[in-house]
Amino acid sequence: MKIPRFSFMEKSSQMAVLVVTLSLVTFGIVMIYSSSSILAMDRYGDEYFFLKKQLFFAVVGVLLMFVLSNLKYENLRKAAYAGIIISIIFLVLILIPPIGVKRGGATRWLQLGFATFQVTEFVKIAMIVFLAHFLAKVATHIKDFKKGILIPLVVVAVVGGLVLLQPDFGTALIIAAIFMGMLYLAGARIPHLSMMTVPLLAGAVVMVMMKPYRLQRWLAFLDPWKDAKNTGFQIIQSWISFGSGGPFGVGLGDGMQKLFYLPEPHTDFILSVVAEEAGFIGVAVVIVLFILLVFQGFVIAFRAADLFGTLLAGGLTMLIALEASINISAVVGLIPTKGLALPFMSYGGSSLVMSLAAVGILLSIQADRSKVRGNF
Amino acid sequence: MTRKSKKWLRFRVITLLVFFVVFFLLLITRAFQLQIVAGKALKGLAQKQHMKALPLVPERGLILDRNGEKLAASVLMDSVYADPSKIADQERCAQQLAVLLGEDAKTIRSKLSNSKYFCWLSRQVLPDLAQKVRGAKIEGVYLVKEPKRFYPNRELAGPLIGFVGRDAEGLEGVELKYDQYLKCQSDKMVWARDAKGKRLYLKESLVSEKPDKGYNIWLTIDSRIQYLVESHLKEAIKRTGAKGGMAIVMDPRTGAILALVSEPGFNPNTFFRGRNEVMKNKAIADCFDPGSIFKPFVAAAALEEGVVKETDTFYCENGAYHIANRTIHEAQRKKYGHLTLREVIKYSSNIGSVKVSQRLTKEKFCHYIRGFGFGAKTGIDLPGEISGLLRPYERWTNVDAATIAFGQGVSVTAIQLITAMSAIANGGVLMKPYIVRAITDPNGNAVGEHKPATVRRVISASTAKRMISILTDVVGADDGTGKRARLTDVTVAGKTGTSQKFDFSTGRYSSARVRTSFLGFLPAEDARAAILVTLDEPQRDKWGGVAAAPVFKSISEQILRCYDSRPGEGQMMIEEKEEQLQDRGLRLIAAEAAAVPAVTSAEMSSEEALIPDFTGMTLKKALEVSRQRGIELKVIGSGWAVSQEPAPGTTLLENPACTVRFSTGH
Repeated sequence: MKIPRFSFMEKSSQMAVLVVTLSLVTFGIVMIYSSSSILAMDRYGDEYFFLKKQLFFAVVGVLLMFVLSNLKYENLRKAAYAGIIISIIFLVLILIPPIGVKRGGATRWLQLGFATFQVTEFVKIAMIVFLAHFLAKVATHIKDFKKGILIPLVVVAVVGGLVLLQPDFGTALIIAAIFMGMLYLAGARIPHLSMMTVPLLAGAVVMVMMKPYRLQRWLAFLDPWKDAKNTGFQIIQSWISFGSGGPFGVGLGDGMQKLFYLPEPHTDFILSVVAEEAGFIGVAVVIVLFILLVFQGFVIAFRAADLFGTLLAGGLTMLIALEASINISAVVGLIPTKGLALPFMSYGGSSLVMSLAAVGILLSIQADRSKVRGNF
Repeated sequence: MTRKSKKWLRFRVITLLVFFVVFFLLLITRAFQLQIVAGKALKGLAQKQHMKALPLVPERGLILDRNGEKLAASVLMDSVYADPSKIADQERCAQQLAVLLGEDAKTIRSKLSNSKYFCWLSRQVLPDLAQKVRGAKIEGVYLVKEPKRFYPNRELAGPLIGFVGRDAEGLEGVELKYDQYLKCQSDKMVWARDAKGKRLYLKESLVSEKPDKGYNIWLTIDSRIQYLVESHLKEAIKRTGAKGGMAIVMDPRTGAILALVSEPGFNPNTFFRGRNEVMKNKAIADCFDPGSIFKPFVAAAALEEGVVKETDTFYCENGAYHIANRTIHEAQRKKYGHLTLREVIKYSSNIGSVKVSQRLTKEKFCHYIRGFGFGAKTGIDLPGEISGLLRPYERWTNVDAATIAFGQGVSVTAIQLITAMSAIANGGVLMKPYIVRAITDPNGNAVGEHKPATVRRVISASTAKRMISILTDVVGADDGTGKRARLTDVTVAGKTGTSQKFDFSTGRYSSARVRTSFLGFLPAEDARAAILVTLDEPQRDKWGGVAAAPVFKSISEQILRCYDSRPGEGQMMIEEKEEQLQDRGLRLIAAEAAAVPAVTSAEMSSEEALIPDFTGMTLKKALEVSRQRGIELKVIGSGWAVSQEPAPGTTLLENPACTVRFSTGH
């Protein structure tokens, strides 16, 4: 199958991904400054505290993105097993107190001395690379549960289990969802997929029952007004941000909700600040940017040179799409708050660097397609 | 890979793509619903939590007498407050403040620790104390100007004017009755605040644009008359050893009250809530048996009904008249034989009055008493008026009817008596008494005016004239009981009275505890002033003609002298023309520009010689204040005054100038 294409179209499509990504990162940095300056002043006496850190990681992330986009993505296949083993080691390491850093009741960060690193951000990408590689390899046996699905299932279960130990329920869910999505892409049988959802759902229910705060979050989501001062506080404050922004917003920097009304305005609730200061227009622009990026991502998957490329691009795109949609769903109150960052925009070095790395890999897959034309 | 499997792979990619795009579109819809559809309601919630309003004590309007004399004004005083969040060492600060303010350090300590960003330390302090606090420059302790109610004439008309509470709300008297006019829409400072409750900046747009001052109330009271009535009454109370007393001067033609005194009074400057008995205005809120001053109304009723003539004689039973099981005596156990109607009033014969009243049916008798306004509120515009006690005539026994004829067994208020007597004085019309003649806005424009109101005609003009003649005799005749109220060149009409107080312990009327009164008007033939004087339980000179009549006389004399008025020119003292009022309104503003302390004590004027504190003022207000003080103002910036040079409290130089920096707080 040959589709005639012009080089500049490839180039412009690559540019589109780049422009969308950098737009999100730039807007994110502006909003991080707007939402965190007072908090930073309050906590560290430096209004640029978060801005400076995020700028640094943005530079690191963009560099990494360019490096990865210029590498042949096929090389990642060689690192697939190493990546998943390193992931598991990391996940185990952070459970050991001095190495793992505990914040807000969860151990998610690896102490690097000069900085901390959120391990799961790396784990998600390593897992996608591993799954893409493995599923591409066993593509012919994908319909066979034992030969095709069992090994990745075990790996994902181990990784997911370790993530749950942190505990990080949201990331575990994302890992599970990406696994299912990639199996679906690789052509796994629907009955197998459905079979796996049953223990997953059961597990989820058990997890919710085990930790009372999860139940509370859930109840708060169902009727936040019932306990507006405590459990429902976050979501109500987020709604107030959205409503107070109206169609055009109160103006960048002029929002009130970041003044300790919104919890973590520069991380999980950054879109609420966007909603207040830039209004519905701002929120719509952000979501449309994500749609464009996800669209481009799936187009890259669609046109990838080989199955590994398709699975890898699909997995990475799903990662961005899932993270974005879960975060947005949470801030608009469609699902309980998950503690997940909005990719590219939320404050957080690990998340930003790894999201940009994911885009770098996508660009590499796209670039490769333009070289190996028509050869699927 | 087969072509078919490739096709399926692409199909699966597209399904995932569609799934996510649809999901994102759903999220946009949700944002639309939150921001556009439910936006208004959520924005309301946002404003509710973002804004914090601090009401400012409003500056009340003035209370002025009929000539524009200030009876109640507001003076800006410093109040001390603290922002505990800015105080590092609260213990030391409390110690320091305790010395400065002369208060308990522990109380201050608890005030500081009980609030986060704002607490009052001392409200409305004296200027020199404010100066000391300002000089101490304690971190986190500030001063703010608050208007304090000030009554320049102290006790003068205290119970009448009433007083206000700490937050300038009217609590008694005119201050209470006209509170809605005197108070102004209290300004609010609206602050944006963060979730921790910290105030951030002033929300300019939300400060109300209402006038800074309430309306001014112009009373019918003439403070000169009020003053002389008060001093004469006080003097009489002292001389006779009375418990207290009341005096009212009314213009009988309009019902306007020229003076209203209730002794003992109080100084509203230093008055605090809680002492109910003292703070009520007894002239309207206390009732008593009127005694002989009630007799003219009985006579008037009989004359009006045509059942008696002045020359009719009544046998006064030689001082002992039996009705049912009761024997009625004359006052001071006097004994009279036959008396004409004139003489009954002139000598104040109880038995004669009873016989006069007996010519009327109980129903007619009661009809006239009610007609003169007894047993019902007069409707004067003061709070707390009572209606007295007049039982329905159906339940009167013959004894009841008889005693009422000489003012026993009926309970009336002082305001009812003066209003009823005014009805005789003005030719038979009962007027509604009033105390406020006009309300003006701060610019002197009339907002409301009180026109004299007629309640009803009680007796005909000719009956009134006949009564006036009888009452003139009481004072004018050498053997009249009221001869001590006589004036040299003006005819006075009036009636004395001494009522025994009902002693609840013995169940009888006591002759030891009495109320001595004089009720009259002048000039008799064309009355301009009706005056009631009553002394409560005088120890000496118990008889009305002896104790109360001279007070009436000296008050009358001085009223006449005060206005330098011959009878014909009484006009001038009562009537006010519309343009005069306007004129005074304008003058009032001019007077205000010269600063309020003109009427206050020395400490106030010393305050005037200092650079005022501009901080917190709007540009407009600062300009106004500087103009008042004659200070040249240099303005930098806009918004609210944040700093100034020289500092507040600096002594004014010859050509005072002050540089004030303004900021909107952003």
